[in-house]
Formats: sequence, C-alpha cells, structure tokens
Amino acid sequence: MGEKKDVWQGTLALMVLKTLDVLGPQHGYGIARRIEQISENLLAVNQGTLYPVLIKLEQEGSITSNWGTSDNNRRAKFYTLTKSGRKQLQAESRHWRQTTAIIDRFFAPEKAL
Amino acid sequence: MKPLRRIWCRLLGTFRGHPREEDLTSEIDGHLRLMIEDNQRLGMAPEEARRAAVLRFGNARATEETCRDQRGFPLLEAFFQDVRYAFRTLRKSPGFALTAIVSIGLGMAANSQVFSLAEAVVLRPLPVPKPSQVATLLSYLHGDRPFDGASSGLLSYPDFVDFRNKSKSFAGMTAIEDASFGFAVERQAQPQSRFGLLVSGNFFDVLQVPPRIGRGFRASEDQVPGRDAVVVISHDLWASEFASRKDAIGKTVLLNGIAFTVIGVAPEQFTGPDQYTRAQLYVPMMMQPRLAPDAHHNALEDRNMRVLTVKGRLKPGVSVANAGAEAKLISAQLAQAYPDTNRTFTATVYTELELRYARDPYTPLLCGFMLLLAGAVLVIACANVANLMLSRARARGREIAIRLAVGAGRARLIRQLLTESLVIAVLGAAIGLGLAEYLAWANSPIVIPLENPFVVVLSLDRQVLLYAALATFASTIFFGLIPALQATRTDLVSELRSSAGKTDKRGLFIGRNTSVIAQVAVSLVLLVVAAQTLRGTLILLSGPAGFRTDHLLMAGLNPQLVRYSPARTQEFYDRLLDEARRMPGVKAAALTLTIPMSPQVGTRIVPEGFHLPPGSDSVNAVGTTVGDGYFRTLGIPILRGREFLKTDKPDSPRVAVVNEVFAHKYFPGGDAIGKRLRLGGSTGPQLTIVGVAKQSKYIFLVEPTIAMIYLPLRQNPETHLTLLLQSDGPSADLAPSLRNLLHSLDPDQPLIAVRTMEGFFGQRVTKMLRLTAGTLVAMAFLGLVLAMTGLYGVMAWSVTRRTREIGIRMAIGARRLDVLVMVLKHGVALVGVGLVIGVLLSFLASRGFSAAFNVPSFNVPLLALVAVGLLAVAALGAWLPARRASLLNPNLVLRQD
Repeated sequence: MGEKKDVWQGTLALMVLKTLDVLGPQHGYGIARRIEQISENLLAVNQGTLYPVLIKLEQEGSITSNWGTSDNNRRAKFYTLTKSGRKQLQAESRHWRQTTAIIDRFFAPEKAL
Repeated sequence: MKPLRRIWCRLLGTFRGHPREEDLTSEIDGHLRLMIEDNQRLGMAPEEARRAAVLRFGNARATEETCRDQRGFPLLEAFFQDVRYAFRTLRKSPGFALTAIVSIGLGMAANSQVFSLAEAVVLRPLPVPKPSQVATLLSYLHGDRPFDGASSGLLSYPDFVDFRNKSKSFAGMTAIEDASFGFAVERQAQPQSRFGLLVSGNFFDVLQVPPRIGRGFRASEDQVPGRDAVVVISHDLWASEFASRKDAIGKTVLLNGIAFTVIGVAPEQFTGPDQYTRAQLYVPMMMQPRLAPDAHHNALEDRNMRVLTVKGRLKPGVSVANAGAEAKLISAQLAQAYPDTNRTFTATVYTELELRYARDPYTPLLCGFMLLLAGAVLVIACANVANLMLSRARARGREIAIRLAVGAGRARLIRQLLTESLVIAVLGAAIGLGLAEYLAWANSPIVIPLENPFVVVLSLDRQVLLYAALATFASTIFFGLIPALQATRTDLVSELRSSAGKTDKRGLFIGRNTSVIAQVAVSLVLLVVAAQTLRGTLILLSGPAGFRTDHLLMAGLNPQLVRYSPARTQEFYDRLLDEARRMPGVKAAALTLTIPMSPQVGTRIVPEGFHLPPGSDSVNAVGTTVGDGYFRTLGIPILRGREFLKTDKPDSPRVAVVNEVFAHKYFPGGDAIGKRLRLGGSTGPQLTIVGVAKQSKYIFLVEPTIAMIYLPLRQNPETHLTLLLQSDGPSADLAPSLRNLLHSLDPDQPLIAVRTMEGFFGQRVTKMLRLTAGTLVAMAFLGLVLAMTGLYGVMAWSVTRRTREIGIRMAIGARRLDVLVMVLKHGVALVGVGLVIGVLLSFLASRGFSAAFNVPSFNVPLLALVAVGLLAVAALGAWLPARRASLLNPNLVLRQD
C-alpha cells in the first residue's frame, strides 16, 4: 500500500468529474474506490484531499449533492454532475489530451529534438 | 465566472455555516462505515475491519477541519467572532465604551465636517463622466501666470479655433463664455436676468453630458454666426419655468428679445463647468454677435477679445504635461503668425485642481489649515481613548493572562484587541458622520449673493466617506495598537497570582504620561490658533471696511440684454441716474463696474517715472471703472484732489483716481496729484491723476494691501453696471420705486439681482468669517475638553494605583496637604511639559498661519493668557483626584488586603 502514488493536485478534480460522468450519481467513498480501481490500485485517494475537492467543485457549480440511500441501505451523500460540470469536463479533457500529446512527442525516442 | 461563484458560496458559507456542520460529520462517518463494511466483506473480523479502515482513512477530524475552512473564509469568520465578542465586552463596561466612542465621534465629526467643506469648494470633481480627463487651456500674456494680476487666463475665439484644429492631445475642445441673458417665456413678460453660458457646439459632447431630454447642439449649429437660435436649459430652469413638462422641448423662449427654440434639458446633476456658479442657459457661441452686437469688436474674429474659457477632454494616455507642452508649441506658432495680437501670448494646460488653486489659492490653503486643526482634535481624542485602553489593560490583565495560559497566540489576541478598537472607532465614526451630516444639512447650501450667486452645496459624498474610512482606520491603529501590544506582553506568573499590591509595568505608565503631554501640547496649539483667529476676526469685523455698508441698495443693469447701441446705452444710464437722484428718499446715486467685496478688474499700466521691473513693459494694477458720485455714495473719502465729475467726458483730458497705496507705491516721495500714467502699455492713452482716495477693503476683509486705480465711466464706457443708491431710510424700501422707474424708462429692461449692501456684506463677509472663526473655536473647545478628560483620567488612575502607597505615607506621618501637593505636582509637571512643547509648536503654526493669510502675527500676551488658562483648567483636573487621595483613611486602606 505504501507504494501507491498520491493523486496530483488538480488532476483529482478532473478524475472526479470523469467518474461522475461515467457512473452517474455517486457518493464520496464510491468515487474514491472507482478512482483507485481504474488506476489499478496504483493511486491512493486521500480522503483529506478528496472532500475539499468535492466542496470546491460544488461551490463552482460543477456538481451538486443530495442525500440518498446507498446499495446497502446506508444514508450517504450522492454527487451528480451538472450541465456546466459536463461542459467543464469536455473542455478539460480536450486540454488534457492536447497536453499529453505534446509531452508524448517530447519523450518519443525516434523524434528527438 | 467560476472563481467568482466560489467566492460567493464561501461568503454565504461564512455567514450560514452551522447547519451544514453535522452534514459534513455524518458524510465522513458514512464514508468510514462503507469502508468498514467493504473490509468485512473481504473477510476481516469486525474489529480488524474497523482498525484497517481508520488506519487507511487517517485523521477524520483533520479532514473535517480542512473542509470547513474550504466552506467559508476562516479569517473572516474569526473576525466576525471578534466583533461579536467586542460588542459583548463593550456592553459590559458601558462607561468606558461611551467615553471612548463619544471621544472618537467628536473628533470624527470635526474631521468630516471640515473635509466636506474642503471637498465642496476644492476637491469635488466636475459633474461630468471621467472628470480627470477634462483639462483647461489657459493663456498668459506678458509672461504672467494665469490669474496673476491682469492676466485672466482666457482665450479669444480665433485662438480657440486654431488650438482646436492643431491640437493632437485633446479628443475634443470646447469654448465657454459666461453671459447674462434677459430671459422671458413670452413677449409680454418683463424679462428676467439669467446667468448662462455661450458655448461652442461640441460642449455637451466634449464633456460627455447627454441632455436629460431633447438633444444637444448639432455640428451645423456651430458654423454660421447668428443663424441657429437654439438653447439647452438647465434642469433648475426646466423645473421653475416649465414645471418639468416634457413638452418644453420645442417651445420658444426670448433671450435678449430674440426668439430661441428650446432643444434640450441638461441633466439634474450637471450644474455647469464651474464649481460655484450654476448656468441656467446654454446657447451656441455662434449666436453671440446677435445677442450682444458690438460695433467695435467682433468676438468671433477679434484675437484681442480674450473672453473664453477653453476646456478639453484629453485623449486616453495623454498627460496634462504633454498637452501643456503641445499648447506652448501651438501658441508660439500663433505668436509668429499674428504678432500684432499674440506677441506676448503663451498657453498652458491645467488640471481642474490646478485651475482652482491658481484662481484662488487662499481657499485651498484655508481648508488645508482647518483640516490640520481637525486632525489635531482627532489626535487628542485618540490619545484619550488610548489612555482609557491602557488603564483597562490593567483591569483585563487577568483575562488576557488566562487566555494566553490556555494557549491563545499573542498575534491572535492582538488581532482581537484591535478588532475591539475598530468597533469603537467605527461606532465613533458613525456618530461623527451623523453629526457632520446634520451640520452639512443645517449649513448647506452656502450662497454668496453675487450677481451670479456662488452656491456651495455640502454633502457627505463618496470622497468624504472615503476620507472618514481612512481616518477611522488610522485612529484604530493610533489608539489601539500600543495598548494591544502592551496588554499582551504579560508576565503570566505574577498576573495569575492575586493582583493586590502588584506594581505596574513601567511601559504602561510612560505611555499614559506621554499621551497626556501630547494632548496638552496639541490643545494649546489649537487654543492659540483659535484665539488668534477669533481676535483677528473681531478686529476685522469691528474695524472699518473703508466704505459704507448700510443704507445702500444695489441693482445690476445690462442694456446689452435688450441690445442697446453704445450711444443709447449712454443715454439710458444718464437718464436713469438723473431720475434716480430725484427719487424721494435717495441721498446719492452712482454707477460702478464692480462693487466692493467682489472680484475687481486687472489692468496693465505704465506709471510715468516709475522704474519698471526688468523685462516688462508695464505693471499690473487692480482697478475698476466708476461713475461720478461713486466716492460720495460709498462714503470713501477723497484725501487729496477731487473725485470724478460729470465734466470728465470722452473729449476732455483723461483722468484717474488712485488709492493711498497706489500713490505711495508708484509715486513715492511726492504728491501723486497731477502725475501721469499710461493705460494698457507704453503706447496706450495717457491719464492724469486727479484724486487720491482713502484706502479701503476691495476683495475681501482678509486681503493684502491693494494698490487700486479708478477710471471714470464716461471716458471708459461699460455696459454691464451696478447702480448704487444711498437711502435715507431702510435701503430695501427703495426697491419698488426703483423698479417703477426702470419700467417707465424701458419695460423690457431686466433689473439684475436687487440687494442691499447690508445683506450682501452679511452673507459675503460676516457669515464667512463667523463660520470660519466659529468652527475654529468649536474645535479648540472640543480639544480642550478632551485633553482635560484625559488628564483627569490619568490622575484618577494614578491615585487609585497609589492608594496603598499613599496609605502608608499617611500612616507614617504625611499630612493631608503633603499628599495633595504630591499628587498635584505630578499633574502639573505633565501639563507643564505639555505647555512648553505646545508653545514651541504654536510659534511654528502661527508663523505659517500669518504668512499664508496676511493677518496679525503671533501675539505673546495672548499666548500667555491661553497658557495660564490651560494650566488653571489642568490644575482643576488634577485637583479632584488629588483631593480624593488626601481624604483617604490610611486605616481602611492598609487593612483592605
């Protein structure tokens, strides 16, 4: 467990948005689990980082929250992606792809500078 | 957008906060529970599952803390907590709270009041959008600064046009000329004189003031002389003459007998391009030749007729200095192109503030001086509050020690104490602003009844509030910081032990003594200045103005308003004067161009035999043009020679009368009678001095000694004159018969501003001086009361502090008198040091004061009187606590602990 990498600041928000986009409404624990699963347990989502990010996204209007009941009948707070959140996700994923593409080109061995 | 929305949410969170608190806890607990359940599903034992989850989760409460900080603004929340706490503390000690708040309130009232006056007369920007872009183009002739002596700073129309065409610094330039109009809404009505402006067609565009209703001038209305008779009226005139009806647009009004179409109404807040006078009518400059025909001059073509104020809106990014440099260049070109008229002509560009200062440097100086004094009152008030806080620091020592002991940081405590000070300052400021608002409401508007009245509207607008806010924060730091620093520098161990018999910290004591000394010094300065001003004012008010201020009726006349020719004007005035002198109840009558206590006319002269300053061809003199009988009517004695007579006609030898200072200055060591001088320049007409008039006051009671020259009206004809009537009985009684007389001479002729000299003098001079002196005396009194409260507080506190010591002294044989003297000595020593410093400061302040206002300078007996008085009052302040100390019963005191 100690080997796992902490999520970089900034990218966590994007992962949260993508998770909600794929899974629909989800509680905090679910989001954390999902991110860890997708990363094949390479990432550890620290709760001390996750909840402030959720609050920030909610304040910015990208997600909303409602109390509901989880699969095993527990009361939990569910987060839902809003319209403006979806737009933000699209914009940021486009931006992210661009950035990674550029970085990739730098590190591609055959196309040295 | 998103960051903004987030700030808004956090602000909401700061104030709502609490209900969501449990939300957060249960959400995080839920997270933990789900983790435990998952762990159990993976086959862990319940205890094991819980342990693993908690380990993995980390510190739940720390997470909550981070989230909570995210929800609101923690600093802001703490601030509001502090404010609430401050209110509770203040409520617990109402005596302290009240004294502190009232002290600051009085200091703030003095400051806001004086600043609102300064704002109204000096600092208030023009009532136009982006006023800082508007600058004024000024001319100077003969190298004189604008408004210096004969230089009016004004431009001629042809020069204006050249500047407008050549200048690249201004986005637009507009020309403005003050004008009076004979105004009537219908042909039958008797015309009334209204003040207005002749303006170039782009006036409203350059100032960016769109009319409230209707339209501004079209470009085509600024091209052909005399063609487009259109007028924009002020909001005031719209209300008074048209009852604010929309159909006023398109109506016809008569200006000087010519029909004009009303095309627009200026917005209410736009009172004209001057801070004092309020224009009622705006008329295209091109109508000037028809409104006031002049056979000799065409104002639109004559480069010598410098009568226009030129204002322009600078292009964005162009500085006033750049525009000024460009103006200098263009004026040099004009001087070359038109040497006849522009040889000595230069131009420069002033900001609005520079313009106001150049036109009248005394008012800003006076305002600055009063602000300094008001600042001194606030300093005394702050010192008072600081004193109170220092003595409270002792009472609150235990509370603060306990807080420090349970782990509060020193910075946090200082912040909380400063918040308390801020609450006091803000409450004080609220009281002060309330008082100032009341004073503004009671005194405003201040109207100086010139022909075009000066109107000064006091209001607490944005600049005043900003100033008050700055003063509030400054005083918070001033009276709050040192007590806060000292209060938190506590020796915990001794503080938490029983406080009885504990000695004070040296620092506290020095702080309090220093503040008393400062208070005494500053209030001495205040008292000296106020006493000096009061004395000066009384001397001025009781001393002679040098002319008659009673039994005089004045009325303005301007036959140009009904378009008389120069010959007809002359005839009209002759008849008017003859008839007026025959009116029952009239002792004497005369015509004059200007009346005393108002702006006079600058003239350039060349006195014969006088050594002109190197590089100049003439000198400036203040002058006016008056008719025969002027000196008799105004009661100004002619010391030598004669006054003007009916026989001083255009074809007889040209003459002049001068005053004593003029005679002495230009013709020293001999009689001025019979001496000659030239008018305008070395080639101008030659005048012979026929009389020397006694010195009097000319512009204001507070003025430097002025060298004055009077010219006879018949040899120097003017159209816009004032008729002076000396009456037997009350002068106001003459007004109806004067109106009848004028009506019989010409029913269309408007009578401008009929007023008595008593009324005018009272408003213009007495009221202004009383207001100034009254404000100063009130501030000095306030300062004295505050300083005495401070002294009393320190002495009372010192007696309380030394109760035990005094008890012991008395127990071992000190008499009551010894104790009394001991305590008094302390008080008198403080006051004495304060007095010495105050006297030194007074010397400095007084020197600046008398240099600036040319009033009687520093007066030693007065200073001694004020100092002794202050000492006596201070002794009383020290005596009360001293007496209390001397009445202590040593038995009781020593048994107390």
